[in-house]
Amino acid sequence: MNTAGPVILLVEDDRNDVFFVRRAFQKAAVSTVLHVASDGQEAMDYIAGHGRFADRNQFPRPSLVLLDLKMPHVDGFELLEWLQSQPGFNHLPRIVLTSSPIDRDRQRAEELGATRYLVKPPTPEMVAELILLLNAVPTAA
Amino acid sequence: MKTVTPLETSAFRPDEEARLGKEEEVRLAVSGGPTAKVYQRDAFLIETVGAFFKQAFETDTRTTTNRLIPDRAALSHLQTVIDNSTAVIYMKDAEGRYLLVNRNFENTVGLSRQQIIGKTDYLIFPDADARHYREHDKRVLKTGKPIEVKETVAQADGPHTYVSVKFPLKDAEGTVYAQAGISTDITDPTHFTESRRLLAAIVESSEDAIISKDLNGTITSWNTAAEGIYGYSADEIVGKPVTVLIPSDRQHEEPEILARIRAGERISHFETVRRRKDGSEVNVSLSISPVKGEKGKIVGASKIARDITKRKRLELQQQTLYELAINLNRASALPEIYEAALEAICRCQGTSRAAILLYEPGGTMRFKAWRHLSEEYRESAEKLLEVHPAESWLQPTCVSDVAKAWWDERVRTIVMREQIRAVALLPIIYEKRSLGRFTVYYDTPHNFNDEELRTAQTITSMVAFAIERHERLAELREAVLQMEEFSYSLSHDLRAPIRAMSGYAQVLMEESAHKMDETTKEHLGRIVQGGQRADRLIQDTLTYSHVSRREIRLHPVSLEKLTREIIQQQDASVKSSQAQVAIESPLLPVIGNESSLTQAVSNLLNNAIKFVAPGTTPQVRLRTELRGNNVRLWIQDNGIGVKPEYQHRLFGMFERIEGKRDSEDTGIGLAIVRRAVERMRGAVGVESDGVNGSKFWIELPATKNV
Repeated sequence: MNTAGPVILLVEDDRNDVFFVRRAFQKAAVSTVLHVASDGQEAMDYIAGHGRFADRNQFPRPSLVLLDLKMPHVDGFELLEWLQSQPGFNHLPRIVLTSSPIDRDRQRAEELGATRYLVKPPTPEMVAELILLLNAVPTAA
Repeated sequence: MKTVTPLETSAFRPDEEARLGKEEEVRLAVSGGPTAKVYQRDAFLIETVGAFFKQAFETDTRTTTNRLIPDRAALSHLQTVIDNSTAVIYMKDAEGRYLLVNRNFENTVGLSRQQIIGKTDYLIFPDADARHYREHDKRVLKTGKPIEVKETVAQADGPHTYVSVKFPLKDAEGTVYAQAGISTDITDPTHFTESRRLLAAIVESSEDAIISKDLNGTITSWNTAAEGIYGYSADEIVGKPVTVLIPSDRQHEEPEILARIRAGERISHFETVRRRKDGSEVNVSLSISPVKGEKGKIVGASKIARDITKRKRLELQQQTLYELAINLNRASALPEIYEAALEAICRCQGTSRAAILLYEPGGTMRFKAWRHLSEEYRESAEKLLEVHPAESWLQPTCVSDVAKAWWDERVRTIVMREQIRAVALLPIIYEKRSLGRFTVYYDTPHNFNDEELRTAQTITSMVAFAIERHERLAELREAVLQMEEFSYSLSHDLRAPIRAMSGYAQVLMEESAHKMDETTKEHLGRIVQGGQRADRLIQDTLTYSHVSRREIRLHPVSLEKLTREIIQQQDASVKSSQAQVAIESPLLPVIGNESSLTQAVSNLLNNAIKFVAPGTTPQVRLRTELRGNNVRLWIQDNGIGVKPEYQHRLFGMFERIEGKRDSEDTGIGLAIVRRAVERMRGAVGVESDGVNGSKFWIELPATKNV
């Protein structure tokens, strides 16, 4: 267990949004470690500990995945689908943080196992909610 | 003047010739004085009958009621005498009930005396005639004097005219207690020969078959039209059983018909199928009536048969076109359109073979759907069409006999090998453009008439329209889908830079405010607000268009559960505003769509919490009420309200509650509510005086088991 706090994997291709998420976490004043994957493929590699993410000390297994839906290469839906197919990650909370307010996307994300569906911009309140969620879920680490 | 004694009359026999004698003044013995002008023969009878009546009455002088109680012996004599008269003789009481009739009366009306005695004319003759006779009777009863009138009686062989002498019967005091009548048939016998000739002419010139048969079902007469419809001449068929006209699967009909005829029933417009001499079938409408003999006994039946083949065909065409219209409307794919069209054309044209060919890109025609055509034929035909492309004619072409057509021998060979002897080629045209053609095939030579071509062309144009509509619809769907994708990407990609802009401005405000003067801070604040507003606008527009277009299914929804879930989800905003939300349980269930309803209710709830005067704690109450078959959900707040003059604009796109402008409120929220509710076939509204809060409502169908 990393002493700096729970590890959160942010899957986001937009650098501005990465900045705002970081900032929301800072403002919520919670101690977390935020790793960023810039698309679905990178997120899969990180979660599975493949390739350059093999070193779990440097890239510890996340306690929560915060993911965008619209991303190049492998998008958020595909990532959710992949997560569902991975036996070791049943309890890993996966939170969608997206630009899309529309119901169709929310439903599809929930069908694919999303724990929460949040619409951007990220706020400190959202972060607080995530932390509550983290505490409620048994740690898989 | 003759007088006859009862004894003499027993030997009386009416004149064989039944000729009418000279007119003669007669004194009616019975009535004690009055005279009438009657025919000689009748005068004699009147005297006789009168004498009997008188005698019969006088034997009953003991009665004081003045009712006739006839002396049996006298009556028996009288009956013998009058039965032998060719005149119609009868006696009725003051109420018009028959007391006595002679045999000729029985024969004339076709009833036995047991059936007649005690009855009035109304039960024996048609009402109009009975009324007429009764008027005459009343005159006699009223005046106490005999009258002579002409009366007409409808008889089996037509109307007969009678001269009737009707006279009163009086008792000793001169009171009329009954009346009698003697009616002589004065109808000219030649009238019947004439009318028979006329009748025969009518029967012969009728377009309907008029046939008569006896009660065994043997044909006894046969008119020209019958020959036309059934193909048998009168010589061939008269004397044969009527069953030769009945197809084997309908033989059971004849015993049923005969049974009904024997019972005196008339059969009207019985639609059935009969068999012609050549074995083909013909649709007929039959009207069959019993025919009565001279004594009123049923001796056979007259049958009128109308050829309704044409009407049946028109009915079939109409029904087929009607069904085709429905099927084309329902069709969701091209094969369904083709199938409906082939079914319709085969039914209307009375064939089992047809095909639809359409032009493909590049201009060649291909079989798209067919009935009873071999693969070999289709291949050969398509090859031919490639080599000799069909000119894009816009008129139908019919070949009534392929064997005689002016065709290329190779084409003829291919067509004849497929056992096709006649063919109709109907261009499928939409807006003067030929889409392909509809082909109808016959195994035997076929003469095409205008009427069937018209029907075929109607079917073809319906099909053209359906095909074209289907293709346009597919294009439209594709375009809508692309548009949706486009607007989705656009709003998604548009949101990012706007969010970045207002986000970074926010960061500046928060972190570098100490380095700025008030004006700069204000300007920065406007950038943040502007960005947030643009972002909300995009989000709401996206939601609105999605709510408008997406497919929704309606099913029972628990408002109670749904509302509680929304409140739980909005916990943060409810808490931050310290709003008090009260639900009057239970909220009644409705028929709706969970997701659309969530959208609508959460928007209304948000508004209720948001639009309060500064310093006021928002108080929201939710309750339902049953209104007829609907449930109305009320969301009542203590907010700023909506003035009545603005309420009609409230649910429009980009309309905002007056006086309140903040970045959160885009003016689309209530438009989304309205769209969502309307898509669920519900209604939405507001009640407010503009001061004491608002009562928004959503009305949706109630579930059945409320």
